[in-house]
Amino acid sequence: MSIMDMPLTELTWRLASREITSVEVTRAFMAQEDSIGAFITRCDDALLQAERADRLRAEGDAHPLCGVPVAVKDNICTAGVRTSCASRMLENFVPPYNATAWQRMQQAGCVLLGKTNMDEFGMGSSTENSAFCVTRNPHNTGHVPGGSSGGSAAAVAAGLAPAALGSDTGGSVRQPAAFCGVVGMKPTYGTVSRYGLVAFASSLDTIGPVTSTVADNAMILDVLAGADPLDATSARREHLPMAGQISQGVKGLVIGIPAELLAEGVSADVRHAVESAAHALEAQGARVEEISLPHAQQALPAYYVLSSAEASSNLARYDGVRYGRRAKEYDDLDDLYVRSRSEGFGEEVKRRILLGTYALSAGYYDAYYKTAQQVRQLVKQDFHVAFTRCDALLSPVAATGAWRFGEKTDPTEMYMSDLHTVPASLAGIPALSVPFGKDSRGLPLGVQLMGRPFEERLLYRIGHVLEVIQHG
Amino acid sequence: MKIRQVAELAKLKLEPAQEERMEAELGRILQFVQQMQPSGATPPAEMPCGNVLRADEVLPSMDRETLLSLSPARTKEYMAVPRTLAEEGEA
Repeated sequence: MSIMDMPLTELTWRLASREITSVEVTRAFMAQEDSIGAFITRCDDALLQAERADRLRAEGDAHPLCGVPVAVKDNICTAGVRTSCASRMLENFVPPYNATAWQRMQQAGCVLLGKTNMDEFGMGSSTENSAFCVTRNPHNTGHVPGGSSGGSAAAVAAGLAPAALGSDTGGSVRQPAAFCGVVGMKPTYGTVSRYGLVAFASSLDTIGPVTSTVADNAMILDVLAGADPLDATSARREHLPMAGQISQGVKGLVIGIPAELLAEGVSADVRHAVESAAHALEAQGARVEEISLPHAQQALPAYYVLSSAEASSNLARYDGVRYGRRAKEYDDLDDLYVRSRSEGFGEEVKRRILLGTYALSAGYYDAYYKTAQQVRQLVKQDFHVAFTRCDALLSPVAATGAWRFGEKTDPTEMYMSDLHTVPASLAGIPALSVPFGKDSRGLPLGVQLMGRPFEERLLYRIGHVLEVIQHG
Repeated sequence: MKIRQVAELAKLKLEPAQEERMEAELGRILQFVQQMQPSGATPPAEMPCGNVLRADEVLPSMDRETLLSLSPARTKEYMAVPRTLAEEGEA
């Protein structure tokens, strides 16, 4: 087995037994040509980082992930390495500090291979909204990789990195993971610190791992999770390690399938994947039940109102004064703001800022923002009720597999593709995307597992069973 | 939606063609979000969580020079912006 094909569990074991070095592993990944456009920036100093990791390991007492190279989405701040959010606004922004998530990975000894492509500021579902490059689906380069963490998912799927960090506001880790045939976790809101994650919608933003196996994913989340005084919304609770604790099977578990998420619009291939996953879990001793999330269909409009409202406020900071792009010519201060923002933001970002500004403006606040918050509470209650009967829920990640470039041109149509992922985002609960089956064109499909707050480990357990059923 | 007015609030300027296109797109999006109909016992809009406050202690903050170096324009230890007050005698 080549280094590029090894899961993290195997890589870390070989690093620990000194069979291979971080320099060898890192060199192997750096030598891979990025023909699918997964990266915006590749780190020239990766081998130096790897040498440091090898020295650390030689001194003993190294973290299991010491020396493992990883890719990081370009909206997670990395000190000294450009963090552009795939936006002209931050084209030359080199953060002076690390996001807590990356800081923890770096402290464990991980090597930064580079920063991955994404939809500008996380706004999109296909990575087509990047200001810099096109990322192609490694399984068929005529198709999108999904988004917004399309670069991270494509990098792992193409063997350009053994693991990657993504961010998920309304499905941005889970959907590209499904489209690229890899594993993606959106942890419970508050599990991973948001400090240093460039803000899109603060009440929904999460950071999560993208990996090729479920066990790998748990390993990375173990490093990321934990309270952080720099993020007031990070959960003040102890994180119990999950790696190596996910093979207890599903016997006796009750798994619900929300009828609303298998309603019309879901492709026959996806429906088949979800039903096969359900049968497979039943065969392993789980009980599968149809359940109802009565407000699931309203989650999508509520998500677009709330996330855009928060974005319009969060992105007000890009004013051309403190950091980021400043227009070259302007008449006065107001003109400086307007020109810098109008030049720096792409079309989709402008659209969301306008939608959010409108939803928050005097006279419309109650009709849009307040109503959306109420829907959010109802969605949360729906899950609460479901979890009194079920241990976890199973659903599609998206209605279809990856679509072709340029296939979705209408913004509303693109928004509709997030229908299955936004309910868990609004409720703040953990949701895991696991590859399961293929569509009629041979592209990978994923299924989504949703769980009670902070029950990531249970989702990994179920995901692991699905993985074993498929790959033996 | 009066798109020009909203764009002004958001400090954005759209090209005429962009303005027309966005107005139509945002019209469709607004139509879509009007599907929201919270029914039954409508819950409060506020999220049920209190404030998270830390102890009022002085902690080290980021180095001033580092932060200033990120500014697109500066003079000594200030970020530079265009004049906002007219000089005496000017309109």
